[in-house]
Amino acid sequence: MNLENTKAQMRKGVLELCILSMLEGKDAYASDIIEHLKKAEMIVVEGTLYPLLTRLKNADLLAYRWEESTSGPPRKYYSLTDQGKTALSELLQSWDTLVEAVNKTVKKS
Amino acid sequence: MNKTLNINLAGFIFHVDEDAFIRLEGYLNTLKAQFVNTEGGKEIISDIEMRIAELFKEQTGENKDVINFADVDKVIAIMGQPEDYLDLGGEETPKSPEVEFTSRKKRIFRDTDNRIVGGVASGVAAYFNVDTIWIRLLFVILFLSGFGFLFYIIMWLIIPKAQTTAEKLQMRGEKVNISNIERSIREEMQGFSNKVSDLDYQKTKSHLSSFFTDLGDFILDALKLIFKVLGKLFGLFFLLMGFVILAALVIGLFAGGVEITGSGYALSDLFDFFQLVTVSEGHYNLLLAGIVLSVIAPFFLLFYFGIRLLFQLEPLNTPTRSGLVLTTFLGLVFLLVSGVKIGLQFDRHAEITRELPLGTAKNYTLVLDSDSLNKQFLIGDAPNWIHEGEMNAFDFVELDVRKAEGENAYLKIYTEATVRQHATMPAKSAMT
Repeated sequence: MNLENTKAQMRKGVLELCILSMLEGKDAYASDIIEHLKKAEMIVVEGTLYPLLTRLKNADLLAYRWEESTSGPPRKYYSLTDQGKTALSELLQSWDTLVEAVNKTVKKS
Repeated sequence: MNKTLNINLAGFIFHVDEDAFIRLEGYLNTLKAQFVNTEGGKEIISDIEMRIAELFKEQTGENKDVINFADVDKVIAIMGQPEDYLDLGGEETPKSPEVEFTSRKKRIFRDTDNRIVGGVASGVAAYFNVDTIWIRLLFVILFLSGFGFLFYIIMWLIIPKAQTTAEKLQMRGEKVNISNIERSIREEMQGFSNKVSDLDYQKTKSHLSSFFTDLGDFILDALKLIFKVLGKLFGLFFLLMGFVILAALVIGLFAGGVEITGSGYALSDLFDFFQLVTVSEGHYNLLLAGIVLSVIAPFFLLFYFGIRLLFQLEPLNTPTRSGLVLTTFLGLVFLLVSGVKIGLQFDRHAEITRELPLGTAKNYTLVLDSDSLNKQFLIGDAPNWIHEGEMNAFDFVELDVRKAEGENAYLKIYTEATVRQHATMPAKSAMT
């Protein structure tokens, strides 16, 4: 049994929720999102995020616009769409239920 | 001192050390291979390239122009290994990259990376997963025994060269997936840098190798040329054959007078024969149509392959192919129908057998030796046509010498005839 793998799976499962909630009310660059998630130790390397962001964008949960950067190439500035907001509230609700259920189970045993 | 390369990453120019470039290129190629079948894969790659450019920008500045190997390593550490990019949250992505890239099927390729002559031995060794030296030894033994040379050349011609990384992996029978491709690319890079540091060894090897390679290439070219010329000759031959036979058929059909050299049959005789065995004009036409239709396809193909060997030609298209199948089928059906009809009408059969002691027949000479026993002799030019007034027949005389059962030699005359229902049997059995 690979514990590291299980941990990574857990993190990856809630990664979408984290990204969506970070963008709620406040747009952000991909590098901001990455920075934040790294600090929170949700991700270890940046590579994980790019396919995920593209997928969320293709699912119309996110939108982006280009912003010029003074120090490098232009950056994508991500924002939450209406669909993304709906998805976020649904995921949050499911997360709450899950936490409750897990806590109950873990404490009992 | 290091050689640097200029690269364009997301629209920015970076100076990169050669080894750092190789590392970066390998990394990006692995990622590209990984995302090639993912929706939005190109976008992901361009996002990644942009981020790498951003990180490079942070690392270079006024005091530092060039990206070195350590910088690339640092960036890869930040971005993560190719496996980290697998989007496990996606619905279909966890499976698809593995499935799309996986192929365990081993295929034989020439391993030109490790070649001495054409890379055949090393390819075979990779295929059977044994050390190359054993296969080389085997080839040397084969060479000495004589036919090994031809064998080697044929293998060289037939076996394709492993060109892409995926082919190189297939050659070794390794699973073609992301991490294997990356490993292989990394090994190749390693090999590339080793080559630079291993110059002395390389020199000795390449001297020997280049001699054999040059020799091999020369022989290969020569053989290719010979095969090409032979192919053209065959093509010409086929073409001529097809043409002559087709022409003969057409002329025979319309003029009815061409004698096919050496056979003793004239085409007109053949048509007479058809006329003889068929009941009506319709039947005759059916038989002819059957013959013509069923020979179209073979001669057309002969013609076609002749041209194809001579020139570059497209493979036969489907309508032509179906057409040929159809004509052949129709022809065979016509032949079958008219054949059965012919067989059915010749249903009257009669035989006469006479025995004469040999002494009574005087006007012939028969020279016999021990070889003649049980041999059959055809008498006269076959076939013998008898055109006598209304009678039109096909005559066939055969002499068969056998050992007599009793003491005295005798001549047994066996006459048989098969005729149509309405014909009368000629009551004559000719004998000379």
